[in-house]
Order: sequence, then C-alpha cells, then structure tokens
Amino acid sequence: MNGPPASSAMFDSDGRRRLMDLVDASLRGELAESEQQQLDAMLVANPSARDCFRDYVLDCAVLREWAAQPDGVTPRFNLASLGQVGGVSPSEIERSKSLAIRPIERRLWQALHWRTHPYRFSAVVALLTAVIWSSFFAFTISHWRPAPLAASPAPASANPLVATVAKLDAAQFTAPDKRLAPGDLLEQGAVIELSAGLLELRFHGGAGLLVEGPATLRVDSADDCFLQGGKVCATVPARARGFTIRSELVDLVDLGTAFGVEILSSRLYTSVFTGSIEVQRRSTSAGAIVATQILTAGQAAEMEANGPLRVLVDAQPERFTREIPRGDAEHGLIAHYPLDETSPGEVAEQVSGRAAKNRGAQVNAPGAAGGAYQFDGQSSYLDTERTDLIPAHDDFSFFCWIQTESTVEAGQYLINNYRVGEPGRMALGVRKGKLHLFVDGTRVEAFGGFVADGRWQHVGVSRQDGNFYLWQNGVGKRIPAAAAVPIGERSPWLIGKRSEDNARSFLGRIDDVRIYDRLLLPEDVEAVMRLATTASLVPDNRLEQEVVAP
Amino acid sequence: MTNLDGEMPAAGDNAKEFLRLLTLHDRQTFAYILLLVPNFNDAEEIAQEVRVKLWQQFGDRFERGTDFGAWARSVAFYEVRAFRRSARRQPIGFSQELLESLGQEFQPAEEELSERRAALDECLSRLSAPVREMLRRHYAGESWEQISQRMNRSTAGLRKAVYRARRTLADCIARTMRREA
Repeated sequence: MNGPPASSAMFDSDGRRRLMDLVDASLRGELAESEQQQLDAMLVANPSARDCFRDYVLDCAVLREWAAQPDGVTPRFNLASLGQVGGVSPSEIERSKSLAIRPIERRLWQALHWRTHPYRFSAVVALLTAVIWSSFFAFTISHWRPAPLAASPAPASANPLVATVAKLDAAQFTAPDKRLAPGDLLEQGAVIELSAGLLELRFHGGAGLLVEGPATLRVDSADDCFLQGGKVCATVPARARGFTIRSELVDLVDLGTAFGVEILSSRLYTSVFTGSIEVQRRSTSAGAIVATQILTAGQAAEMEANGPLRVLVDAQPERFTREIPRGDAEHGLIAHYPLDETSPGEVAEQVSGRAAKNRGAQVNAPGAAGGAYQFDGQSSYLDTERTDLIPAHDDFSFFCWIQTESTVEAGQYLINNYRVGEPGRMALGVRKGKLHLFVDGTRVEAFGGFVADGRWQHVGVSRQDGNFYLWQNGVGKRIPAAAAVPIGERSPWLIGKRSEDNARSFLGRIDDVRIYDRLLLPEDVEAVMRLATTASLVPDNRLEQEVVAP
Repeated sequence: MTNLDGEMPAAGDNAKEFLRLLTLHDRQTFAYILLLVPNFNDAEEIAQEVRVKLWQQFGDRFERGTDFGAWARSVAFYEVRAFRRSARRQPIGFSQELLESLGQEFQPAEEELSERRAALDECLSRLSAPVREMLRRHYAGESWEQISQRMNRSTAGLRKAVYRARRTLADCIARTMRREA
C-alpha cells in the first residue's frame, strides 16, 4: 500500500492541524503570546513545518485576494480610480479598462505639455506629484484595503480562545449542540460535556489534557480548568508548569509532571505518573488555601468531600487512559451522512450541508453508529443529488457500515453512479456473498471477502494515484489499475440502488457513510470503526486474500 | 513634446514604468510580507508603507533592468523590521533570528501565486455555494458574529465549518498543484 505524501509523513497531521490553527489565529490578530512561542518553536525545529507554514500562508493570501474580489477577478491596479480625483470622464475610464495605465499617461502627458512655459514647470511637477500620490491614495484605499479584519477581535464573545480540541476518539457529547471536532477553538469558560469516548485538549499555555467520558469540564484559562466530574489525564511540559486542575474538593497544581485525576460521586482520586503535583485544599468560606500536600511520581491520593486526603501506596496508573490511539477519522472528510435521522425527509450531510433525499428508506433502524437506514431491496434508496460526491480524478475513500439480509447472485449496490453506456460509472456492493467493486465496466473489478448476513460490516473503497483499494473491516487490498480510470461526473450518486432502475437494490441496513479526499491509512480506518457505538461490534471476517484484479 | 502615440516624456515613463512593475510584483511582495508578518491587518499596513517607499526610491535606488521583485522584497524586509521596532507595537511576532531566516528562505514567485490562485478557484468550485460564501466573508474580514448572523448559524458551528472547509481547501490546493506540476 502506498504511504501518505512525503510532507505529511514528515510532519504529521496533528502537527499540521495545530500549525494551521496557529496561523489562522495569527492572521486574524488573535494569537496569544504563548501561541506565538509555539509557532516559533515549530518553525525553528522542523523544516517540514516551515514548508507547511509557507504553503498555508500563501493559500490564505490568495484566499484573501479572492474574498476581496467576489467576482473572481484577480485584483490589479485599476487606475480608472484616477477619474475620481483627476477629472477623467467616464468614457475615458471605460476606454482605460483595456489599458489601465492610460489615464495616468494622459494626465501626465497633458501636464508635461505645459513644461515649455517657465512658470508652469513647477506647477507641472506639483501636479505630477499630486497625480501620482492621488493615484496611490485612490488605489490603496479602494483596492488594497478590503474590509478590516475583525477590528475588535471576536466581538461575538470577548472571551479569549484558551484551548484547542486536538483529537477525538469515539467521542460522544451530551447534546448535539455540545459536539466538538478536532481543531475547534475553545473560549475561556467553555464547558465540555463528554458522555463517552476520549477528547484531547491542548491548552494554549502548553498543557495537554486527555478527557475520558463521561466527564464535565470547564476551561477557565490557558492554564487551568475546573473538573466537575469524570476522568482526565494531564501532561504538562516545563513551560506550562503551574497548570491547575480545580475541583470542588481540591486544586491540583502541576509542578512539572504528568498526572491523572478522577472525580466520581464526590470522591477524588489522583495519581502522579511523573514529576510532582501540589494538592491544595481551600476553605469553603474564604477560599484560602488551608492545607497542601506534595505528591510525587508513583504516589496517589484520594479523598471524599470534607474528608482527609489519604496518600496511597498503590498509584494505579492503569486507571487512566494517557493517549488516544493513533488514527484520524476526521482529516480529509469531504462528506458525511451519519444517517441518524429519526423522521423521513432530508438526509443530513454534515460537511457541506448539502442534504440528500430519502426515497423510501426506513429511518431510525438500530445502527452501528447511532441510527441507520433500512433498505427494502426494491425501490428504497438515498439520492445524494450530487454528481461530484466522489472526486472524478483525485484520491478518495468511501466507507460505510452495512448489515445485509440476503446477499444474492445478482448483487446489491451500496453506492453507485451507474448508468448503462456512460463512461466512468462505479459501483460498490455485495455480490455472490462477497464485497464487489467495479469501475467503468470491468476495467477495474474486484471481489472481497465474504459478507455475513445479519452482522454489521465496515466496507469501503479508496483510490490513490489511480490505484483502487477495497476495504473490509479495517483491512485494505490494493487493486492495481492498468491505466487511469476517471469516475464519471454526469449521474448523481445513489446509496442503496442502481441509478436507472430498481434492479440491484440493497436489502438491509446502511449506516455512517463517509467520504474522504484521501486514501485512509489502516489506523485511520480503525479510528473510523471505533466511532461505532454498537456493542460486540468486533468484525471477525477480515478481508481474505482473494481480491482479484482483471 | 510628443503626443501619446509618440515617445512619452521621461517623467511619464517613470510613473508608467513604476506602476507597471508594481502591478506585476505587488501580489508577490504582499505574500512575502504576510509570510514574515502573518497578520492580515499588519501585513496590509506594511505593504502600503512599502509601496510608498518603493515610489519614493524608484528614481534613485532602483536600477532599470534589474529585478524589481527582489528589490521590492528587500524594501519590504526592512519595512517589516521597522514595523516591529515601532514603539507603538507590542513585542510580538517571530523572533528576530527566525525572521531573518524566513526572510531569506521564503521568496514566493509570482508564477507560484498564480498557480495557487488557479488551484484555489478550482477547489472552491467544488464547495457548495453556502460554504464558499462563508469562506468569502471570513477571509474578507467579517467577524464571527457578523457571519453567523448573516448565515443564520451558531458561532461555534460556524467556526467548526470554517476550519473544516479551509483544511479541505488547503489539501485540495496542494493536491491540485502536485497534479499540475
């Protein structure tokens, strides 16, 4: 299998994301001093980071240019604006459009015609200067100052941004409006309500915090937070020494360390992995520190409300998850249909907001990750109404969960843009009890492992550099293509049915359809699979060594 | 004295030539400044100072026939340093050592910017109209609150959507440029 591009291999996707977050904050004038230091450190330490920085800033420069010219015209000097200060007629301005320099030529020429008169010469020079400066003025004001960037930073909220969501793993939140995604910036006072899974937070002061759901946490500054309940694990570099986790019971002040804290039913347990922390107890009335206790590596302590702090011999570091498993389920996601609707109608797509249409599929069936859609094997399907859902020429990955009811000889389509006679049609489905992919007739065709009816299976297809990959339950097999096979962009992509008739319709359930603009690595696919919420979802029929290529 | 169809007067040549060169190299110079001072407002302020300096020094210090873009970048670099030294500025931005290093290393070419712009246009066309509009407002400098009101979205949701879209765009631009290379 081909690896990721060299640049990303040298500078991982997390680092790239963090760098982009820092650059974005910087471009808007919202970069804290500590973040500036982080950015400096990244650029000094890593040549790949500098390449990434350069590319991203240049992208932003052209985006800025595009945004200032919504008609898509590349901005250039438009000296027609001279007319506003120099008295050029509208017709002259119109003529000047084909040669933007003309108005100033005319003005200077007219002025210089007076040069022969001795008294007029100085006036000409003055006029020349005035014209030039006027053009500068008009030009800079009208063309080179697009709307100022957030003159009053973040007016929607005066709170500074103090932390960034770095990673998620099977994270679920207590409510849809509480959902967070990697890269989200958190304002001071933001509350995280994680009902399950893992969330990695990077405080802008430098500390990292892994939150394990269920947990409720408030981010109070770039250097401290309030843990109401749940389990967290802090990793604090030297520059962030003093990072504090506060709670109803005690404050835990870092002294250069890594430590875990769990609060459950007014009971606190903390364990120090490396370095040391200071446990501070405050009076309930004045809030003054009334007792402190230093804990060092290997030590743990517990206490209950109003009870004493008891230092324990057994530190139990295994009680805490200290890092999120590798893999990235979000990077490069270009379309995502969670298929969690509870009523018929539009089918939400979470990246672009371009909803699909539900044509008769039953909603709210028990799924692999939340709800799923039930297809009847006849006429029900989802119409994405998009012909560009799968990139025609570029890399992509398509994944979904399926639960078949009866795989038949004729095959059933999961996703396709099939239309007889049209070039570039692609279909992924099940056939003869196996996963089946074909592209553009049979220019690329492959069968995967057996699909067991009644069990959830994670399946997909990818393309990178012209080669296709078939995925089943986390294992991918490369299917070499003899030549580049573009995928058609004429017919809309349908989920659960062939495009032109009711043949080869899918019978069973489909859930969590995801499309990426890259080839996912196996660990990424594992990360996608970990998002599944169904218990005992451990696929056992990995893709066999029987993928065949034409 | 000749007319417009004949030879232009020297002073006219000067202005015309200056504006021609500035037009050719302004985007490149702005990108260079933005790489050294990645803050849109500050970079635009510096860029305006640079344009004025370039005009003031055009007759005396620029040797015709040499690389105007390189000259503009050298003027820009000194303006960046002057901007940082300015008493009204907070001591923020890259360290002096890093700035010197980046100033040498980052020399964006106009061709590259044109290619990026073309790639951007292609990648933007793949986004839905609402996402494009959201990005346009964001990069035109509208505040989160303004955009969220205009687009009837929560600020938090808007931020997520913008960050996701700009990552998608960055990836797409990189891919497109690799493909074109």
